[in-house]
Amino acid sequence: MGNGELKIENGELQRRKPKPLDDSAGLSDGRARDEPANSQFSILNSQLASACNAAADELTASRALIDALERDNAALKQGLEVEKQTTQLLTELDQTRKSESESLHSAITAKNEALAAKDSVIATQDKLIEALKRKKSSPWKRVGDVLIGIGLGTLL
Amino acid sequence: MNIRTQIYIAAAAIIATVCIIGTLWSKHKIADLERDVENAKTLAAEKQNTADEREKVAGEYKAKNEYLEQQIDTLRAVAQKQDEELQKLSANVDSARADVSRTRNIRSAAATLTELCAKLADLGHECG
Repeated sequence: MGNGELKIENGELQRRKPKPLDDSAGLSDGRARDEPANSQFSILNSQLASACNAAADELTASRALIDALERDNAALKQGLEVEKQTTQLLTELDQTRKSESESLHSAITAKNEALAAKDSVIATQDKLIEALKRKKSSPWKRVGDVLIGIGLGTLL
Repeated sequence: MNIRTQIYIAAAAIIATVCIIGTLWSKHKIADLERDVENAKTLAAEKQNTADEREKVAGEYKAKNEYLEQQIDTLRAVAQKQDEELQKLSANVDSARADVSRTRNIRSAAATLTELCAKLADLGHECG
């Protein structure tokens, strides 16, 4: 790119006061100051360096932003994974609670049946006790039987 | 042996037979009742075993629920930490975005070529 083209494109920049360049660039020696073309080149070079410096700053900041966004994205992905695991566990918990509820209902039903069976045992045992009570004769009845026997013997 | 004696003997035999039959019938009824009691006890024991097994299963589900709740609590704690970390990262992102906007608005920044070359080198584009 020639100097003339740069002058046209950066006409606005040329109107600004150029920043001094470092001596290490080797562009601001005493001989160049005397020559207009070299002076214009030096100014243009300075403006280019400033713009390039701004672009470099923006690039640095953009890279920092990209890094921050990537970290943010990675954290969001981790959060999403944790949420997925939580959702899975909550679904499993829901199923287990339903199963527990069904098991408890079933256990209660079985316990009621067991209680009914035990009531049946008690009722049957009561019947047995009554039968045994009927079978067992009282002392007075035995005395009566003896008296009946004596009476029958006397009659005979 | 006259007829009267025979009648008495017959009456005594009938009475004895009735008594024996009554005793046997009574024993039979008692045996039936005892058998009923044993059957009822067996049935009650089976029902009790079934109830115990179902209660045990319910207990296992309860233990599993407690384990899952513990796991969920752990995950929630992790999620809370991640949220805090995300807030910090979001603040960093906002700051970085503001830096980009600020640097984008700066058309030129004074710098020597040495400084510029150093910056470019940091960015991976060395001069020369």
